[in-house]
Amino acid sequence: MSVNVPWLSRDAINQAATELLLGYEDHTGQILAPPIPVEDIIERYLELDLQYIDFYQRHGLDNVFGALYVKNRTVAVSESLLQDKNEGRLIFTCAHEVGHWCLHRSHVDAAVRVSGEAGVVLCRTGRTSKLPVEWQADYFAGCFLMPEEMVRGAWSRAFDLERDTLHICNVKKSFRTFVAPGLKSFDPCIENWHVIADIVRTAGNFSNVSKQSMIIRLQELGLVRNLTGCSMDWSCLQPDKKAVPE
Amino acid sequence: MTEDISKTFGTILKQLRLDAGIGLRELAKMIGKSPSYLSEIESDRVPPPSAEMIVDIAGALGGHKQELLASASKMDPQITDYVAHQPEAADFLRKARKYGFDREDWHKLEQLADIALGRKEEK
Repeated sequence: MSVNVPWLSRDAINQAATELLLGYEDHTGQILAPPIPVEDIIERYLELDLQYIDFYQRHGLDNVFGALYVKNRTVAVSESLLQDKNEGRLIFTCAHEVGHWCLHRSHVDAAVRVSGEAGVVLCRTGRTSKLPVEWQADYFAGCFLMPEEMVRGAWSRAFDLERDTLHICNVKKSFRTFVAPGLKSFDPCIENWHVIADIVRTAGNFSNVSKQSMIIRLQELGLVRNLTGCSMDWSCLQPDKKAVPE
Repeated sequence: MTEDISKTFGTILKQLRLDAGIGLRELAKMIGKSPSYLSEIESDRVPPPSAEMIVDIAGALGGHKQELLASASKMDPQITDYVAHQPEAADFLRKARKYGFDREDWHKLEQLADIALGRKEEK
């Protein structure tokens, strides 16, 4: 079903994610540290049913990686994400559905009452991913999995930068080479975005977060700025697949 | 043990897993099955697994073997094996079924056996 949602500021979405994390800390009596235990938060704190399913077999749906069944309080994630190499994507999908639960469930309820549709938010790849409802859930997932304070802490441990922002250039002719503690040096060029993401990921123990999610979060927080005007090439993470032009 | 017959095997399994603080993927890995299969079991979309697998699940959860087996209407494989190799035990169970032994009858028989054989079950 399509859900119309009101505009939400980044601050409001971040606040919702922060409140959820604080609530979980209060519930468990433990201070949270990465990796954020998303599945435990879903099942034991939010008390939602978490299922891994084959969307095609069960509903005849292609390209669906996650769904939130509001009335049934169920988060469903595609079993295709259960392979080891998809850990980051699986966790991000779980966090994205938590975002729908926290931000949008009341709107889904309202839509169900008006239209009589089933209260399901299906999250597909492709055309729907840029809808406000999906963008908001994505942004929530980033804030939830990579809280700002924890990312900034990891950033400062990883790099010794004179300025906060790392500017990414488009050629390997940088006047400066960065050396992260215990890691090889690298040029901060566009091709090395995944090296930068991995350094911060390792420094902060964000082990259940993908490099792609981390570089997006670093840019959201203004720690990395892409000066090239080019998109980052996600295909470098999947050696078997060719790059798909946008 | 008090059984709640209104609860399904999947519901009981899920509650025991959550009580043990074990994630769906974690339990699936411990018993060598896929998380999606375990999801289907927990949501009762498929019948309860074999008694052997239930014993494995109970081991991973740190107990609750009888509760899980009973909720799946399955018998402990050790008992099945014992009865299969002791024809007298099978005959006795047939007789119990024929006469419709109830819980009280079994309790009396257990006490009589303890006295007659001079044994006490380890508890």
